[in-house]
Amino acid sequence: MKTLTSPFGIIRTLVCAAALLVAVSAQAQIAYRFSINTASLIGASAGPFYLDFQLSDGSGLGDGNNTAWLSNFNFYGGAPTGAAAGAGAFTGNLSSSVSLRDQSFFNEFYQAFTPGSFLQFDLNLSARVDSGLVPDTFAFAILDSTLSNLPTLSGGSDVFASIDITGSSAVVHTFASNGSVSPAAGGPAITIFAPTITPVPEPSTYGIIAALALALTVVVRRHSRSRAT
Amino acid sequence: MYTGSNLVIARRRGLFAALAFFISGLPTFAGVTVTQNVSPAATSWPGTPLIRSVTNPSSQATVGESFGGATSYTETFTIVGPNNYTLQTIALYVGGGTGTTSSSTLTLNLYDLGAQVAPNPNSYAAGVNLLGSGSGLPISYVTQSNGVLQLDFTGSDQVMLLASHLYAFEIAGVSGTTPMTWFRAGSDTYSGGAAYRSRSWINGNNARDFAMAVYGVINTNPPPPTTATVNANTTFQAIDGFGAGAVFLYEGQDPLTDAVMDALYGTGPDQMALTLLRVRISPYGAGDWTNAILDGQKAHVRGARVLATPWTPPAAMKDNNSTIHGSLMPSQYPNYVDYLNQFTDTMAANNAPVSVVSLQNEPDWNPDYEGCVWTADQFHTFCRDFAGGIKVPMMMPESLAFNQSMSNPTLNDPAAAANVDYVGGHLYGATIQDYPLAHSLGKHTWMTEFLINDQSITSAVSTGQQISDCLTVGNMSAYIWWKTIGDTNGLLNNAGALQRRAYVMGQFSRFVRPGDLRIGVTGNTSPLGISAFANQYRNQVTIVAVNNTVAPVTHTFNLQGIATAMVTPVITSATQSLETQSPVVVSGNSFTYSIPATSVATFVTAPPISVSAGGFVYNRRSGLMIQQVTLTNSTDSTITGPISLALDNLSSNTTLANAAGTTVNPPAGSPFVVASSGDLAPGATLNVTLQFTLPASGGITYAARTVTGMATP
Repeated sequence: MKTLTSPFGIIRTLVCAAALLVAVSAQAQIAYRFSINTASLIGASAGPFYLDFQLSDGSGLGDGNNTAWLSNFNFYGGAPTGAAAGAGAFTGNLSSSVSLRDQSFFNEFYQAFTPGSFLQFDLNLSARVDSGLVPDTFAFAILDSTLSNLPTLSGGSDVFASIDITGSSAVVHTFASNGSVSPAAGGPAITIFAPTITPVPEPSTYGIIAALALALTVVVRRHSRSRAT
Repeated sequence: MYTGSNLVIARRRGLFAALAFFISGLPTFAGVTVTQNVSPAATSWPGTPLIRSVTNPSSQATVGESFGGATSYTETFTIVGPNNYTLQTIALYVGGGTGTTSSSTLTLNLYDLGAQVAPNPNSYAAGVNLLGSGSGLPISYVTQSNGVLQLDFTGSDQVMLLASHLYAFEIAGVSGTTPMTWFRAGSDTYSGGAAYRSRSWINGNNARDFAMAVYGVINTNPPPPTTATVNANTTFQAIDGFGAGAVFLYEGQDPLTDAVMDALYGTGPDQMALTLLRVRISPYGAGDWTNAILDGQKAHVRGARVLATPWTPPAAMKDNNSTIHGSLMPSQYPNYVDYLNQFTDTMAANNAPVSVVSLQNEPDWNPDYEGCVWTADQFHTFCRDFAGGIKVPMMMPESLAFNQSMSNPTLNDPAAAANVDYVGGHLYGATIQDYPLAHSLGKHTWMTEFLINDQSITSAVSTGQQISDCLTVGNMSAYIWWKTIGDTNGLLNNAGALQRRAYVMGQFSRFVRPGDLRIGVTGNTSPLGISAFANQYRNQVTIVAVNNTVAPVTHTFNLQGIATAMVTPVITSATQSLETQSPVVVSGNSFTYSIPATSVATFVTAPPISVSAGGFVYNRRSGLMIQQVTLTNSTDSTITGPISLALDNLSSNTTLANAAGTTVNPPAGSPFVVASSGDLAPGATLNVTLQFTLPASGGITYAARTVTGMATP
């Protein structure tokens, strides 16, 4: 009689678990943690500043096939202020969470904040690929008091990060501020390093990993008992 | 040990050996040795021929052919497999004539027509001449009594004859001379070939054979490679387009429906993208021009151009007061100009502008239906003294068999030629040939009508061969099939279904677009009909290969001046209808492909520069939508700069804020940015920033197109 402790049983269990893991990973969802040093914004004359998020449509116009969900904002001594504003399909605010959907060509959210020493937030991004030349794109910028982007080295867009949704391995670009160009609101140029963007496993992936670890533990223990008897 | 005497012998032996070595080292000169009077009044062929078209030359070959009105005589023959052979000798049954002189010449030509089934084809175009390094072999002949003329080939003219291939052995001469008479049978004495006059079946009949015997020995060497070189650095005429006629359609078919026009003139999938429509100028006045107007409108809105042709002037302008037979009276020339202008004005006023107006359909044909006879001198007079009053570009003479003598007097007179824009002709009974006089004057030549009442794939592919020959041999700029619709010979049948010939035309018209330049094809194209075209504004080269044989042909294409990483084949055959095949990688500027039997294959190069785009990001500081685009040289060749990126069909809700200008070459009016003023190395990339105004609504769409090597794209 075949048991779980047979070599075939172990292999079968591992293959099934791996397949499940791959299947979950293949879901069109990617997650990142953004971290950016905002200390140089504290007291800067170009403020108040705004966090600006965009989700623009690519070749699949108005298809609403992608969503950006931003959460877990941590201002490290700062705080969101004022009301949320934007264009296109957006909801939420910096005190809780923000979502953008590519229901229109251009979808934008922005809201003022008081900068702290650091800023951190999580981005969950669906990763459905548009057919055609142009991908959907998520972008992150900081606006000055005139609602103009702080200058960055992005080559024209003045964003600190953009993510082209080209699949589960989206193309991530990060940029530092342009330290030689003053903000549109005036005052000296502001130096901000490029944000750190790290992929984070989704909660569902954590569950799968835990389940896989548990299964392996059970298998190993049963295997040990059968040897002992 | 050598003694004195054997030393001499040894020295002599050494001398002989050296001499033998010297002789063996001499090249064997190519050519032909002509031996006359081999067997007077021969009742059989000497030796053991490999092939003989008659068994008893003197009794079977009783009809003599000379060069009275012809330029060549030909007998085709088939090499029965499985062996290939080395050609050694060809024997002919000839006699009489005046003999060759400097003005009365004879030249031997040999063409590989591929895997044809004799007695087909009904006509052939010269491909690569296998004799005389491509130039043929001139021979001398003195008058002899009827008998065998033996032609022994030497050196490289002992060509390899491939199993199952049909060959055309041709004797070319000067029309109007009679240096020699070649005798033929008045019946079909040889099933493996047929007799031709000026490269067409004699009298349109395939049941004739010239008296000929072919001698050879088995050749076990591999056959020579079939390789052609497509060279984009050598350019020829510009292409004006491909089309069909909306004339004398059956009841209920005219005016053409939108469905018919979409199938033939649309550019979508399974549409043929024709760009020329031929309509008739009715002689009965404006009241009878409705269908031409409606058809012209439908063509115009689909981006096609209209050629308007009269079959006859109004009866009152003719010397017999009839629309049938007769001629245009010289006194009516001014009125005829007015009549043509009235037609084109009416068409233009009804949004069906005429791009080219013809003076007359088939002026050298006098049928019992609408027609009008013109002489070459009448054309000359009309063009010189009156045609300047015609308001739209003018075509003449549209002769039945593209008879150049109908237009030569006009073109040879600068005053008359100045009023001619296009030279048109038909191919009924014609040999496709170049028209250097017209082309030297910058006149585009068009084939404006031909038909065959045969809708088979064999006939359709023959049309493909004819198109290829018109473009390459004739240097023509347009090809127009007789009818758009009709069961017997339409591109669509009565039910509106695309026929094989429509797809064959689509192999050209969908990919070779107006303004494209024909480019050079050299080397061994046989047995394919190969033509190639370049559009420098689209960075695209199109190669069309017609396989008018019953066997697949594997062919290698070398590319010069063409930067591409791959080509995409598209094929029409008995079972395929413009079917796109898997891309073929171009390696070392070369690719090889097996082209199916009785098919047309079109190879389209991939853009040498691949374009990848990032998404749109809005910059509130500049108020512009920003997009990053990366251009990559995907070939293994350096691409010549400057390199520009043009945005065709940019959505009207935005503008390209950082455009360097708009394109002036087709497609004109597209905004562009200059990505680099220099060259782009293989694999190298260029990053381009595009800045768009923010659309009030809707998205930004465009088709990216790279243009290379042009300061002004």
